[in-house]
Amino acid sequence: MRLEVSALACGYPGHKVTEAISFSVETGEALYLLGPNGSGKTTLFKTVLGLLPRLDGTIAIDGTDTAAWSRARLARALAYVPQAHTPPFPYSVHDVVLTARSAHLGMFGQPSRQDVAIADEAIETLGLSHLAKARYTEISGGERQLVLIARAVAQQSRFLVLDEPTSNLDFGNQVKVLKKIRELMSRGYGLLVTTHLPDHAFLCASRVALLSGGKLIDIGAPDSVLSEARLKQTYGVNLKIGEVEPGLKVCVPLIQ
Amino acid sequence: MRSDNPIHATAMLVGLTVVFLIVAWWSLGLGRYEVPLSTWWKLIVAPDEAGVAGQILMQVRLPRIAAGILIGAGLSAAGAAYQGIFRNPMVSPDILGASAGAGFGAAAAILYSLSIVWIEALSFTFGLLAVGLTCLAAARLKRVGDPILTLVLVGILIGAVFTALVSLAKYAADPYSKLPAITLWLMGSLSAINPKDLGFAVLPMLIGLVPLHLLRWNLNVLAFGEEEARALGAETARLRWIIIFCATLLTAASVAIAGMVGWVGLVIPHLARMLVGPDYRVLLPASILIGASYLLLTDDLARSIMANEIPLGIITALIGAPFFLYLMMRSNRGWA
Repeated sequence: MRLEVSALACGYPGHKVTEAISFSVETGEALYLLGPNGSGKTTLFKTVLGLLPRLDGTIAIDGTDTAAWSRARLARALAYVPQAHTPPFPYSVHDVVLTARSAHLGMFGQPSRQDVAIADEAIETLGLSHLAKARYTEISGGERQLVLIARAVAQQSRFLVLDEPTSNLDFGNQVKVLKKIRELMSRGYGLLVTTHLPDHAFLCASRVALLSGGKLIDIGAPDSVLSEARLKQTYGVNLKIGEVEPGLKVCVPLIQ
Repeated sequence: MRSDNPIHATAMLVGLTVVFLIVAWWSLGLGRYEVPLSTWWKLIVAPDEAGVAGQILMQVRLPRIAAGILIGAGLSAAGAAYQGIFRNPMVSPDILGASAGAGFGAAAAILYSLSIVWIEALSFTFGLLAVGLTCLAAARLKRVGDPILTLVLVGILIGAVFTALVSLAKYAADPYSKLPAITLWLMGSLSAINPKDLGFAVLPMLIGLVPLHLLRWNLNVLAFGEEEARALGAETARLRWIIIFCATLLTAASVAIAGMVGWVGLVIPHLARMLVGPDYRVLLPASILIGASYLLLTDDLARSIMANEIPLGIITALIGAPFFLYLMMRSNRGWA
């Protein structure tokens, strides 16, 4: 399956945030979206998710424009993994994951035994079974992020949009999330991921899109898009890219 | 003490139903006039022979108990729904100006010596008008900031306007006849309920309660916020308006027949959340059952503590506010 964004202009009425942007995500790959603060990343992915109205252009899944789709139909094709947050009520982890089933229920529907089984399976997939009964508000930030990924899996959509999934996490939890992103790719999900860290793109991205000032500067393989020269220019800082072992690149800022 | 498994949740709901039935039965028998159990039998087999006791049951006690159940259930369901929609456990049916608007409608009707039907009709009208104004103003202020905070703040402002209008109605009222009537009514009471009033309130209560109950799963989804709920496939705008309409209708219907009965819509959903957890599939029916039992008990107190009846609104505030403080102190895990 293919998520195709063509000549998409995003923003608010009277205030264009991005120019016409085109890219596509295939199932089984991860497209990483990088760009400085204010480059339009957030506006772009919110528009792709249908949370903001598009100003121009099309978003198509398997060749069908999603503009006229109901919220539920869109949610069955495209799931959103927001940054880990705290809801106002102490839901259990299982309750949180179960909300994913809404897209498969009617307006007056209630989750069935089968929906509960799908939620349980998603929790197991992410290795969270021991936390299923824990309060979502009391687990760690890293665990919360994994729960939100489990929820996206329970939504049974082929494409996932992850908003800075590693921000606010400690180093160990970042690695856990990165491993799960790799795992989701190999399970055949199509991922659109935003991040501030070139290293994470080197580790997980199939392709990288670099965004700056509302324009798509380049899109392609991580090695070609994330060059020293281009990152220096985009972020306005001095940095070096090295290879710690064959095929494993890292990006280090130079601050002296 | 919370339901993490469905068996526990079912057991809780069954338990709460039993408590509710006991409270309702006990409340029917309570009162200055002793009504023997045999009266019920007489009422069923030979209604004409039931006499004064039968009449008291049918004309006074039953309508009063039924109204107490409806108001307790309605205010609690409305409170639980508002809290989910606004993602704020500190929210109650009084926000959005519903109670204040309904209170003004009733005060105005009393001021112009209109009949009870008009008191109720104007309560409805102004309750819904206040919410309409709140939502309209909030929609125009959409770009100012957090839409939910904006809505709550505008609700407080609109509420303040209607509270001022109530004061104006009191000021203009005849201090010997109308003023005491308005003041007493605003204190909240079930003492004047008759079968006709009850009939007028049943329909709006059902129109409010039934959709809320059917949509209760969606309240879980909406509690995660506008964007997430939409990304999860919920038609948030439509759901939000239906739920606000139903909750407001419940509030206005309560105010219309019983005046200002405060704190129920804030305290009961909290108590319910402590017992059964935040899942609205269980929380909403639990709130309804606890709310109905609680209002019956407070009304029992109102009519039995002193020789003269104490207005119900005073009791619910005297019990509700300190109890809420207690709930806040013992909940160290956030608002639950």
